[in-house]
Amino acid sequence: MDEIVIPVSTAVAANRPPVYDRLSVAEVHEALRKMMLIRRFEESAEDAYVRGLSYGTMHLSIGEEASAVGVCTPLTDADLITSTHRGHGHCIAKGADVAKMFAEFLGKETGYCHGRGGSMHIADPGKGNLGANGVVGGGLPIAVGAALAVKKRKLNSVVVCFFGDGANNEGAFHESLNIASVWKLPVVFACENNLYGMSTSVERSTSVKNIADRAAAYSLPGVTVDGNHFAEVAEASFQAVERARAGHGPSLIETKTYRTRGHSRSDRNRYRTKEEIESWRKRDPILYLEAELQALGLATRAEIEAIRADVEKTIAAGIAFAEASPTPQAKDLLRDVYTV
Amino acid sequence: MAVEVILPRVDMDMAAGKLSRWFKEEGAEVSQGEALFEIETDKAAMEVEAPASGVLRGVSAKPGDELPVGTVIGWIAAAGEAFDPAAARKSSPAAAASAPAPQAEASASAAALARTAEPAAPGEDVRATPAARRKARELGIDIATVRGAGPHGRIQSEDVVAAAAAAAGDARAAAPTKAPVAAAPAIPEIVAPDVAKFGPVETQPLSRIQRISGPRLHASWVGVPHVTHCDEADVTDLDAFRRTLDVAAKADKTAPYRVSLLPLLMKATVAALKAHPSFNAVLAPGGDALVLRRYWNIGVAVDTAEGLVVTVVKDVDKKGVLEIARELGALSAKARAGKLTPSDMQGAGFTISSLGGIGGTSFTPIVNAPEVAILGVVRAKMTPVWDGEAFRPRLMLPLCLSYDHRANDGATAARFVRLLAETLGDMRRALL
Amino acid sequence: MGAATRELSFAQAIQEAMAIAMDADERVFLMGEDIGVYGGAFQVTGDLVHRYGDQRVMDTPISELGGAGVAVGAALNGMRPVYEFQFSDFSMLASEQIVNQAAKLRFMLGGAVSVPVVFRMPSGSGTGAAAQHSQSLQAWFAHIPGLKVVEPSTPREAKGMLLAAIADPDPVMIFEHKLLYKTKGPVPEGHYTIALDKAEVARPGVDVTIAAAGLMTVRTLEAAKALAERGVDAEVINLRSLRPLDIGAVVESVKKTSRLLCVYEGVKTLGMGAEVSAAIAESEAFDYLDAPIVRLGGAEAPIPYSPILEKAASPQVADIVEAASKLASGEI
Repeated sequence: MDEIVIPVSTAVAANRPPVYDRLSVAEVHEALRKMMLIRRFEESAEDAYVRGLSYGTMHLSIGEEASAVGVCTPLTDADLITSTHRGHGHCIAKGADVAKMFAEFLGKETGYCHGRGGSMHIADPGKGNLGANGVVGGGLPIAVGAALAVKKRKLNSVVVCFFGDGANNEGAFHESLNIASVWKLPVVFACENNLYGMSTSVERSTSVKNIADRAAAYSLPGVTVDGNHFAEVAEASFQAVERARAGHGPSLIETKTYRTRGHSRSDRNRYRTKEEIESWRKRDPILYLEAELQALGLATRAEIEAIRADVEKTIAAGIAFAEASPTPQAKDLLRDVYTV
Repeated sequence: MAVEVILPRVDMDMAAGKLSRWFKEEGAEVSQGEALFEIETDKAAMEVEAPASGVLRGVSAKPGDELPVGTVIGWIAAAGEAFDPAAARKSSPAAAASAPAPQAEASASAAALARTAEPAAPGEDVRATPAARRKARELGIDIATVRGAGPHGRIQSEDVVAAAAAAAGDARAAAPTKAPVAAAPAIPEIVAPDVAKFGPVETQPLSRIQRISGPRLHASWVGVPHVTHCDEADVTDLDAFRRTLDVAAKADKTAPYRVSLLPLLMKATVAALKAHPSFNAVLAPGGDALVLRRYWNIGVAVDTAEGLVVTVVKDVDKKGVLEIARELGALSAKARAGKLTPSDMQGAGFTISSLGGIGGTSFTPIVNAPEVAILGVVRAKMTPVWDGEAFRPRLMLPLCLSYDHRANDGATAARFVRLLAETLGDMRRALL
Repeated sequence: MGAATRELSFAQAIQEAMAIAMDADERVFLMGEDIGVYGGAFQVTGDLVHRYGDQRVMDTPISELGGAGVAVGAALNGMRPVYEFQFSDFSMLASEQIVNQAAKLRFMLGGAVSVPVVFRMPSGSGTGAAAQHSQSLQAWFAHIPGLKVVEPSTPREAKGMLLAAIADPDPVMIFEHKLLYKTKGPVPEGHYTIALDKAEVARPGVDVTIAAAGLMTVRTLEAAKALAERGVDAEVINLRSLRPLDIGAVVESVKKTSRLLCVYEGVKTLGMGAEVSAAIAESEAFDYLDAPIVRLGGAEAPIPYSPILEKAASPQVADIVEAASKLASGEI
């Protein structure tokens, strides 16, 4: 494993990232566990895919774990998220059961969507996850609508809307930020900028340097953070969530991160260099967090390994569950097209 | 433990790929993440990285090989590890895995088609509307004979009706084409004209027996493919024997009774049925089997004032001729008194319908479905029969077996009736 | 005036339905462009904003995609929004949220959610609004499983069907013909619903079945009067909804009359008539057809501006009379 070098300054208590003042040790360990769980889920999903065991395609978020978990850390089950086609990480960060995710992935009746949705549509309404969306930008207006309902129902929840750098050029992005701002709705727009929308880099497609710069156009606060640094992401999220809960309206968080795998499995990576991919690999968010927690005395090596072992068990159990689950039957094809 | 190198799926619809080249050879050191081999798909070539660091062992695919997705093509063993290809293959998850077949696409239509294709009507190249064709079927008219008054000479419903009216010469037949109609019945209705138009009439209600048996006979007639096989039996000697029994029976001190040919006929029938059990059977529901009865109850049609009733003598095989004769007498009396019980009328496996002394040469009885055969007998007649040298006067009994052709074919029926005839010709055969 | 003889306009009936729904259920609210103080482009919402406030009668920015999606999201999270597109043509901007999201979320999520949203819109031609403000897109949306698509033809239907749509747990699209807004008719007081999956026999007859919906039902009923004078007794089936389509009603009618004419303003090819014809030909009514099925649909062109051309592009009463006469007399 590559050595991650933590800049000396963070080892000094005075420069300890402020988010750790908000979180208990147990909560911090939970964040690490979720990040590891996401990584192992994605790797297992990829393994099943390359062996030809799963159907369709999938979009992995390996390398973006800190972004998903950091943004979701301030949320409770009453808060809602909408997610993207690259949504497995958001799902797990919001508390999903990986067994049901594996089952959905394999198209089984026991999956979150009973095999009807697949990788790109996994949702867990019970845990406030309104679903991944197969259309870039599809979840933005829906998140704003959910927030409108929160306001009308006088609930205390917030809605986090995950989207990628690709969505920020869709009309839906602009319409959604505008409406959320004009109506002062409790939304946190969380843009995971992994520098490429499929094969087109942000430089080549977006007319601003940082996507967070666009927030000003809609009178929202916008902030750019290092998407591979859990602590930074979580702190920004806490602030945005508190703002929304207090009724001060929406914010935009841009997490700059990277997906070390291609857009989808058929991606030949022709649009980026090996050197670029390598340089981001060295900034692996999980290794970074492990090193940071140890340096700050928030976790020991043994505790970290115990968490890793626990994650392995959870993954193995999830895969076993999925493989043993029944497939849907053709006679049930028309179920749930309508409610009545 | 060695790590597998598999041929990966890289495109959504990929089932196999071609290994185009190795970047490392057997035994070479590899680092995780470095390019190990290249595959080609219909989209383009793609480099595949080593999944682990170590030594490349057990290479089993060469450039140009086309392999299914998920195939193990090599292993990466730890440096210094003794590598056993057989053991590695056994413990490989790829060996246990098999690509599931993509779910067959369900045909999405949930709506059942109400219509099934009609058999080709005569005159298929005739231009007629569906309603016209249906009307033609209903009225039993060949559509090709109808003149169409519609556009392009198309035959419409009213044209068919007009043609039928013209053919019948009956003004009443021009039914309005738009009147509500029920779905066409399977059997054309026979519409009787108003017979009173032609002369005085008298209405006679059908008896209860007629009203009940009428539909059953109709159903049997329509539902059972009937063939009637006729033969004759030489009952000269049998009838002589019968007469002696009858004389004794009439003189019986306790309860006089009569002995007709019927009980003897029934015993002979049972002997023939034992040799041909397929005439004492019913067709299984679904029509793919014959349920053979292993009991021999014979139904006998008895004449009453109200009409013919079939009474049943049970276990004919276990009863003697005289016992059967007495039982027939009792059933007859009950029938005439209208005192037959349901048990008296149920359970027959084979029916005999005797027209007794009335006469006639033959008739085609209707099978009493669900039975599969019925034997009709008319009065025996003294007939000259050639015995090889001369004509001798012999008492010949005509036998008319109607049978369900689904259960038995012509040859079998002929054999059955011949056996019955021969048994009647020499009753000792019933002992065999 | 008794309860059943009170007359309202089509627009007033819709407004009344909205008020009744909002009074009964605080989850119901309206969204659309210019529906607040402006009263709506066709004055349907009228003064509702003064009675219910701007939080229940919400003016949106000109953002059909965003607005429709907000309606979907609100419906997902416990509300019952009624979203107005200013013209049915503008639903095109929102098709992503209607077709990819609203119609499919319940199914994709394996039944875990419902999307009880109503999209209503002025539709159809005859006002000189030309190609981008006059389309009839019902058949297009009716092609999508997961949506319900309905077309009221009278003020009574407009109110009853909107109330049914609001109560429906699934997304319903209501196409209101612009030329109907000012028509008047009897409307019962209070709350009532009209089923969204049943056609009605608007006029019984025996010589020819004419299937229509919305404005075309009104034109067909008028045509039926002229037809009666010519001795043709037309049975008019008011479909009311395209999805689900009550084809059973048409089957029963065709078994009676043996002749079928479909009348619709949407483009003829691949429209309502195409589906009804095919469904009838596949049904038991096939054996009762005594003439070909005839479709009288909209022209294969964008709606023109000039009134002569605009009229020619949409089935008029005279066109219906002519088609039905020819069908009934055996000329077709």
